[in-house]
Amino acid sequence: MLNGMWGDYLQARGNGLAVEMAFYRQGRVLKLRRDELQAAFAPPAAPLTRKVCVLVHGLGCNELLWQFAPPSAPGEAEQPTSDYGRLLADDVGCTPFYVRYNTGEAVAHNGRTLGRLIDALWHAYPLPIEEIILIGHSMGGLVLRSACHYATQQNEPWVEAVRHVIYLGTPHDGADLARLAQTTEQVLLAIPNPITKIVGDFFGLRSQGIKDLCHGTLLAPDVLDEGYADVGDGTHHHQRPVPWLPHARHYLVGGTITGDPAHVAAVLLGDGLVGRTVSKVDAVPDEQIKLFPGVAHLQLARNWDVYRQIASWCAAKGAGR
Amino acid sequence: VEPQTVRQVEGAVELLNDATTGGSRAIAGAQAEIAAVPYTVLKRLPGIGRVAAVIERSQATITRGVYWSVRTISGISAAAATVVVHEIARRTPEQ
Repeated sequence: MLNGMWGDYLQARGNGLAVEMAFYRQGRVLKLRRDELQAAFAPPAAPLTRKVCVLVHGLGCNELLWQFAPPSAPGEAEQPTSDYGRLLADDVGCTPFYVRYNTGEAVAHNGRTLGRLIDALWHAYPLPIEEIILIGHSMGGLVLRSACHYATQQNEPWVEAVRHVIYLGTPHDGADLARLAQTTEQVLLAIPNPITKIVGDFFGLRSQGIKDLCHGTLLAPDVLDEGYADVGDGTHHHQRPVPWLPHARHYLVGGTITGDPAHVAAVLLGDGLVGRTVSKVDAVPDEQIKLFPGVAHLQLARNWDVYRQIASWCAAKGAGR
Repeated sequence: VEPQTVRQVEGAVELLNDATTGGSRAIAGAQAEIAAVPYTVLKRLPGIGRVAAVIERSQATITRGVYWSVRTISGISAAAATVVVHEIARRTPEQ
């Protein structure tokens, strides 16, 4: 949570609370060396396969976000805790890798770092990787898009193996709550009162990661910009549209806080945190957009119905849109 | 004690100190700004203007001193806590 709120500050200060991006397995950093990977996935763990799944959590979370207990049949004992990665390993035959990262850093920074991390995995992996599935929850989806963009620019080989990219509650057009925080800050700073100025300044301390959620910003500022501070003015170079990875299938999953998606609360608040996340996108066909009424934002990362949809998409053959 | 745990405890102490220091500066600034309003009026009044200016300077000095003390004590406490954490980490394997 601290990293989500002030992660960029912690990183800039060299604070020990800042999280370094890495793949985590059983609460520990997974070192990307061939022998370490073979040891980590030695029996009784599920063996390494040629299909890899990378799961990226959202703001203020870590890889534990994904854990949930699948439903059990009536009369059966409660199912052990699992997650989308482990379930996909059983159902689709992929090897899951869970990312933990500093969600307060800029999305573009995390995107670049994730690209390099997957590249390191690609080169250290004991088997040739034939297919990569990317699953991102909330901000994690933005980080994935940013990673694919920068990896394409850098000609990193792994990006060609990406077949499916699944975005769970990802605010591609920005999150209402982040925009509310920005507006609150601007209003408080505009009031000529020292107390409201302190509160406004405090709001202004929120991380660049949160600020990027205002508009779903995926890129870092470049020489044509004046830094991140100009977020809000849509003319800036780092806010230009980023093409969706053309050879992969993209899937948008959203939820609503009420069972009836036409309910006024669902229309106004969407999934309760980032608003409506499954609006029409040209790059994504309608059959790859799915709304789960009654599933709130965080639940999108640990819901049985959502999982079954993901599994059916991942099991589908072929690539391209 | 794992090195990562030590770094995290150090980080928490540092963050607490940063928050105390930054918070005290912000509050001191706001307090000075609020206090300046009545003094601006009082200093214009004939007869008490000069006295008001002296009182304002005294109050500002005392206020700055109090906030400086808060920041200093916070900094010393943070440094002491860091030393204690390191000492605990150093001794733990020997126990």
